[in-house]
Amino acid sequence: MKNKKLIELKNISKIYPERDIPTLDNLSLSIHEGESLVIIGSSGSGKTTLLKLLNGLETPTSGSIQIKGKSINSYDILDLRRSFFGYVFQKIGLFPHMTVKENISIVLRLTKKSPKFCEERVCELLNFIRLSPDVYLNRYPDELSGGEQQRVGVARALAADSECLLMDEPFGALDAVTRCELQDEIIRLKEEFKKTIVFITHDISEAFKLGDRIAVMQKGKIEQISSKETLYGSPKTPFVEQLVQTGLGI
Amino acid sequence: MIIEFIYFLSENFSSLIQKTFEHISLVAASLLFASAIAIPLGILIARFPAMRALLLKAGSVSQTIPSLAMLALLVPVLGLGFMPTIFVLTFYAIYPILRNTYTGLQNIPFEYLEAAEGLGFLSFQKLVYVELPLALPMIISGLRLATATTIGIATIAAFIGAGGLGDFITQGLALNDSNLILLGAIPTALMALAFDYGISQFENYFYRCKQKTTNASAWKYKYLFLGGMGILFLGNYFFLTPQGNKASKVIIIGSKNFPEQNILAEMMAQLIEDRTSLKVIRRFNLGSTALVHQALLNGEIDLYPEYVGTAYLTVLKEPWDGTQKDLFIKVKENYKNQFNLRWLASFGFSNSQSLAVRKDFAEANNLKCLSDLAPLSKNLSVAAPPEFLKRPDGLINLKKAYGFNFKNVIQVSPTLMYVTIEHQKADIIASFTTDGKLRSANLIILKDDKNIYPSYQAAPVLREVVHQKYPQIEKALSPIFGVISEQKMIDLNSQVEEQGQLPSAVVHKFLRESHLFSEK
Repeated sequence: MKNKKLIELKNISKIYPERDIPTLDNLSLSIHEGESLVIIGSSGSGKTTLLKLLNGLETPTSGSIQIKGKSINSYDILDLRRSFFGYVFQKIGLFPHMTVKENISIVLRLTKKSPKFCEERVCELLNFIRLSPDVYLNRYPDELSGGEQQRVGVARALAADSECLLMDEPFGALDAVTRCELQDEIIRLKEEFKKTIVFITHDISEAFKLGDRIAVMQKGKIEQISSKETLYGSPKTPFVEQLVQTGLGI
Repeated sequence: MIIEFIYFLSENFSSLIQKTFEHISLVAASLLFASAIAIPLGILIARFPAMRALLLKAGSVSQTIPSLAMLALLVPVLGLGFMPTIFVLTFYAIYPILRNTYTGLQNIPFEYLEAAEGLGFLSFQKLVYVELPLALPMIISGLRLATATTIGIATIAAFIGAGGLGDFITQGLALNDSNLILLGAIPTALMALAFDYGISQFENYFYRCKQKTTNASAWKYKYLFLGGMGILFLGNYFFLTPQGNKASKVIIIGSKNFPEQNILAEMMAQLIEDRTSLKVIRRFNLGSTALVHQALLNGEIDLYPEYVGTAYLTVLKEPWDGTQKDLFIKVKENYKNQFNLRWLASFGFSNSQSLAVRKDFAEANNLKCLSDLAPLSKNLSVAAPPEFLKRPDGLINLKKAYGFNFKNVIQVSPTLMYVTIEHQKADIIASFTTDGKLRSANLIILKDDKNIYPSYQAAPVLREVVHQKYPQIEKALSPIFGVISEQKMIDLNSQVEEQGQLPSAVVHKFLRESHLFSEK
């Protein structure tokens, strides 16, 4: 079960004409069902681009992406985004003119689910992320703290019961205490719902805490992908070694 | 002054309400049309840059076109009344809404667009659920801008008979009555303020129900707003339809924009209302002869008072050298054959044209007729309305016949001529021989001794089809045929022009005292 491939990227390159070096350089990667894969790297290493390739927000210049053994092109891309992936954004991106309820249920409403179903689902998710529906259901995003906002962001990504969560530095803007709380939520989420999680960060301690496997990216390539123990015990490159030690230093 | 105005206001309160409602209808309909055009267009140019620069540039240039000029150019194409007015108002309201829709959509923070795409919104869903709601405050402020402009410009609707508060202003200008002008201008300004306040309240409401975290969805207020607009529009539709509906028994009476025309038109209106079951619509103060004649030909009015000489020279453009006879018969025949219009019998007076000077000036220089004036003319200034300066039977003919060579020619509106001569800015004015102001301004008319003017008998001109359909009109008007002498007309004119009475009141009093109303 651990090794069943959910998503497989083969020889992916992404080249933007306006940049001199490829953003992704002949990169291959497998994402296993039920695992949490943390991608870590400095800014500009191509990790966000990699995430956007998965749900079709970007298309690769060359290479192939397979989801459950079939090419990504054989899927309806909007359907993938709505039902297969849940996306948590770095800037949260809750719609300011919608209430918490409306924000969480938006994908359900796009796919024409009944209002009753939406309401029940929203309450379920709010309870899960430990925000009382009575208090929060009809609040607007600007009435929430940063941490509460990103909890709602996570709930929104979970709304359609997607198999795979894509999280793009979701806790980057939060204070340390809130971040720690939310990291615990993610672990709970993974254990309770058995979701596959692809998580991007530039914080090595966050990577150690959340990742079953950790992929270290630099300049569009994966330097090493392995468990944290292997990463720590036998770093393949000086960059990985340096990164791991920075993490331990904290 | 203020108390007088308040009294005046209470007297005219019901027509004020009616005009206000007409005004709001014009504004609401135009804004609705403008929004329907500008918002989709704004969305288009936000998505597709191709036409963007051109449209925005053209839009901003469009705002500099004078509205009155545009209206005048549109009348031959779209006719009088509602249509061209709505067209012009819509035209001016489009740009602010377009500009703000575009700007609002352009300035949506990227994170929301990214979120929408990442969550799998269709392009259309992204627009409806995310982009438009976030651009809404900007669009509303564009709407506010457009509303203020439209309320102001809508006052010009009165020039082409579409009603609204501008009616008071044009009447006030025609009658030189500042109370009437204020009656139009003050509510217009108040309405602009009220609408602005209303829209900002709506914006606040929208915002507050966000803050209160109540169950009331902001959308409800949006629907409320749209519903309100819709009701206004429908109200406007039902309100104006009976007026425009030729199938019901309606007769539309027009007039040019000076008091005597108002009085004659009002007199016809009151008689028809009194003696027939027809409903009368008044479209007075339409403007110059050409415009009113055109309106009659287009069927936008059915009836108006005209002068034989004006018809002969200005409309038919027949030659005149002082020798032609039987003008009225020729005019009647030509109107029937060329235009299918019917002249009824004359009211009884002739309102000819001539020049007038101050009495003291005439006595000092021993002036009695126009020939006496010729030798002095090179030292004198003449003030006249624009029409008189251009018309063949106006100044051009006078100069030719009498050899005038004036020092200076001043173009003023008819009502301001008397002010001009009273303040000695001019020595001579063009005047009608029945002008009510001649007496109080202490002016005398110089006789047209060379008979260069034809007869200017006044009579109703009616569309032949209307005459056939409603023969009762001629019968209703017959009591005033041949009854109004020049002296009587000067008297009626002076009641309106000098004593500041409303034409309707003056006419009513005249008809009652002369026992011309039917005995009921």
